[in-house]
Amino acid sequence: MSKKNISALNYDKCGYLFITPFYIFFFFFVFTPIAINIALSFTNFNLKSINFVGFYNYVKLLSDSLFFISIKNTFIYVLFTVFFTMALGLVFAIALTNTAIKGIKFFRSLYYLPYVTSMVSISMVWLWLYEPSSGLFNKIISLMGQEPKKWLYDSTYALGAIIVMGIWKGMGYYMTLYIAGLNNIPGYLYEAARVDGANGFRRFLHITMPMLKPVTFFILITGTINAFNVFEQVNVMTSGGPMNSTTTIVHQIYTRAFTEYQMGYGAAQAVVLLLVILVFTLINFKYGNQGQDLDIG
Amino acid sequence: MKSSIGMKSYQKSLYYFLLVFFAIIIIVPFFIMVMTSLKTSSEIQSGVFSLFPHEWRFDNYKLALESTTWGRFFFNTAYVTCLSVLISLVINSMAGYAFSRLIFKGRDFLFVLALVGMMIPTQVTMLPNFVLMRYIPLAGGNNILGQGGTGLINTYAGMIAPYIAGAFGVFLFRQFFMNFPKSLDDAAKIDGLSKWGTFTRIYIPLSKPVFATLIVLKTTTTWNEYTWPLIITSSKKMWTVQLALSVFKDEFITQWNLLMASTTLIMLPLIILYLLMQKYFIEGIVTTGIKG
Amino acid sequence: MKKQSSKLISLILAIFMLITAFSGCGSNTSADTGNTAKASAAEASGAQEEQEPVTLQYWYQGTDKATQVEMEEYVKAFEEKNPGIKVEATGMSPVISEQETKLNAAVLSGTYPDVIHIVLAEVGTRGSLNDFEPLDSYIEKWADKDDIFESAYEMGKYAGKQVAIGCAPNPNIFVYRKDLFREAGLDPEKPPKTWKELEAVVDKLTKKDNKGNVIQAGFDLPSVDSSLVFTEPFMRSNGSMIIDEQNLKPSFTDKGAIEALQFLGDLAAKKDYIAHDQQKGDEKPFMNKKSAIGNIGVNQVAQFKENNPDLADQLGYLTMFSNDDKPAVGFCGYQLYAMGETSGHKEEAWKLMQYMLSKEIIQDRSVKKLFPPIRKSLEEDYIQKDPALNSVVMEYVKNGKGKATVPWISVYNKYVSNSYEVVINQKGSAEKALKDAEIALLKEISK
Repeated sequence: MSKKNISALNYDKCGYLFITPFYIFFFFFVFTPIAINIALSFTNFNLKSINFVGFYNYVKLLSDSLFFISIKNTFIYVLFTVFFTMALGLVFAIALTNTAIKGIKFFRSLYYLPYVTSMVSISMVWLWLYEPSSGLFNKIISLMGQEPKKWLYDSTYALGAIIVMGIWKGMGYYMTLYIAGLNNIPGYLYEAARVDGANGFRRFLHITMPMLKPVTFFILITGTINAFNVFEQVNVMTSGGPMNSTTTIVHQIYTRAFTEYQMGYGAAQAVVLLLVILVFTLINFKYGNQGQDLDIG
Repeated sequence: MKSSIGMKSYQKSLYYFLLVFFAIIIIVPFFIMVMTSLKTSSEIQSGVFSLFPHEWRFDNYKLALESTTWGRFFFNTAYVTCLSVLISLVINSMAGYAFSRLIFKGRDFLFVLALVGMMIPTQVTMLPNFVLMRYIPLAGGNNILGQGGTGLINTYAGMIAPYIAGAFGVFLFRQFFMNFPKSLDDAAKIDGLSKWGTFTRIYIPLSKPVFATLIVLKTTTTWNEYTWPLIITSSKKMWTVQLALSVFKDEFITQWNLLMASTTLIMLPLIILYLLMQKYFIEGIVTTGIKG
Repeated sequence: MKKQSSKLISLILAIFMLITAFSGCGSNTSADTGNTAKASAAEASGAQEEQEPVTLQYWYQGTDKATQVEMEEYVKAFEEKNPGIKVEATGMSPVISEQETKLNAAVLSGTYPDVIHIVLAEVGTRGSLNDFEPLDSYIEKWADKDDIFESAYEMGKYAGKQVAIGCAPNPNIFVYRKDLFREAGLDPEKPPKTWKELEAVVDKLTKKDNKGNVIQAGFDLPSVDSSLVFTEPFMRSNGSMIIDEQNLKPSFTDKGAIEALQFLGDLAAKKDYIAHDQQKGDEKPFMNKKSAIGNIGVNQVAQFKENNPDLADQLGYLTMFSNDDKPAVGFCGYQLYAMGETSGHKEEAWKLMQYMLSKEIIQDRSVKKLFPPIRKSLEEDYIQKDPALNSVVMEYVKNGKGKATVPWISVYNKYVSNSYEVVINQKGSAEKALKDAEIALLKEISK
């Protein structure tokens, strides 16, 4: 759809009306808080008093080693979690749209189960799994002849442990979206390809993958945003430790703003997070195919 | 995509085997959760880890239910979730359609702006939202300037508002509508349908998988919300089921068996919903046989 | 175009009407909170309406059922004795960060409670935000004021003002298993009392399997101590002030603190312990019967006896370990009552506080929750109930110290607990770790 040829005839003014209901809520309960947050980042608000301080908070960020550690941890978390959950989600979605298998619905529900558990409760179960002296994971790896590890108490393994839990929990979300995406691909495309002699793998590569691009794009963006905002499991399981090996950006924001009352500073960190995610999203918009060009009609 | 090619029996067995194998791995934590809910307190504390309870305590479930007014909490959670999901379905589908199929000035900018809203974690927006709720004019005893009362704090509307302001659903609908063939729009135009008519009579009926997906995902996230309900409620009457779980926690001691039993019960509606929605994942444009 | 636009507009209007209608469903509860606003408005306008009931918001610690039932009983009894005052009691989550979140929200929206039941750290943190009304003038006129322990007043002071009154000391005491001592060939009636003695017995009480993994730890040395309730007693017992509360300055890079942390680091080097988090009460190896000497809360003692009735008489209790002849200082947390500075009913709030601090209520809580009482008149009784345990507990109450009441206690916790982890994991010396922490802390608080 080239924008060059928009004339008054093509203009759908009713579009504004379509988006109004959503946009009103968005404006008050999302946009306004963000605007307040951005404004706060230029102050030293600490619940008691508020003064304009210009870019002071942002300069302070540059020498905050904890913040940089949290950025590093968050990037590692995002990279591994998003990659594996997307891959697994796709694999399971394909496996579970095969109607030759009985009990597909049952399996789908099983694979979706982790996503449905509330983070607070299931974090406790994972704490037990990772428990150094009596947890299941150490029992299993000792059976395999390995040394038991201290997992969440060991700065080398703690972040990895959180990542594994994140993959386990998030995979069902990706799988569900991929299933919907796969079901949205018209069957006749595959029929046509089969008639042309394409085998399973080629069908996957030339039909499935391209047709999944809009969904993949959606999953990548929303999944990455969610991953960048990782907080709850860190708060419950490790409180950012040991030795700050699992602190994430949102954990830093929360700590600064809520328990240290440095709300202006926390707001500045939030703005940085927003910019990072924004850059990532815009890059994807530019280079990611959103499916607009596909014309299968 | 539905592949219904005949599979050789050994391929089928391998398939099943792998499915079951992964299912077991995935289920382990959940399984532990359920087993814990059936143990006695002292067994959990004993420090010896055993998968199955030595003494099976099915009445832990009864005890958990008796611990507090679950009926009220389930009602609160269900009410808030249903309203949030229903309202979201309506306003998000409308916006998603507009962003994918209508042309108007500033469309892409407005869309990206809405997306930006998704990028901020709730920890950042919740305090400003809370203050906003407090000072909303003409609510909860407030005068026209928003002073004097407590606004929408501790109300259902206050709890729901941020849930329906997220762009997740809008984004989802947009992506799906983008995949619809242009021939639909052309056919609708020929039939003399307005944009609204196209939307309601053609796009929505074909969107069952998207609706099902959004219902399932949004219900899950809303049902499992913790921090926002924590702040917005100030009396126990308005608690959701997630907040109610704190009844089992003390400064030092947690009643794990009852906590896990309650958690299992809380999860059940979500699983049932997922099972019910499964068949809708399949319907949609695939079955309409639209050819080019 | 016009027809569909009007359809759209009517749909939008319908949505909004629906939402307004539904929001009305929640207002039955907002009517309760509306009362407080109306009542305070009435007072502010000078109208002395004695028939108008005053509603107090009372937030207490704990959301578990037992506490809730207990508090509601007290509140009901109070309401009966004081017609004209209604109390809405709400529990706060035991997770400190969640409490902070709610309190921050309350400050920002003007919905701060009238009476609040806080923990010691909050005297410093929230006290510095002026959340609390100074109580000096109320205490002056209080008949019971002399029956309360000095420490209960001391703990509630911030910057010289009495902002809270202690109601329940909450020490972490050291306990040991007499049966495990016997097994290791040690005399259960002569447990270690000094640091050197502790070091000597740890090896003997440790059991390892054939692969060298610890299956029974001699001593519960935590791997993570985020609120430093384990580390501070060692530092204080070695003469360090840790934090100079008078001058609001850190003081943990003196010889006493460094030596103490190094001692803990050396203990850790033996690898005779089971990794755990000090904050996670029921994961402590001692509670899971996996260690011989543990550090637990007073009500965990009861829990342990309940879960292991056969071991109930094998429990021994220890005061804090002393280093040579320096006075030992254990950890004693505190719960306190404070009054919201923005309260519109300060007189009534004080009435509620007096009631909660009254002899009968303190006695009752002491029995139910096993808290040592803060009233001198109840001390003897308490010790009589379980002389072995309670005399030790009273030691902690009298000679123990809790968290310092400075505004930057959370920042201090953050950096020094990191130093603790560094030293325990043998990743650095105590001196460097503490000095680094001090530099980082000073950088943040000197703004």
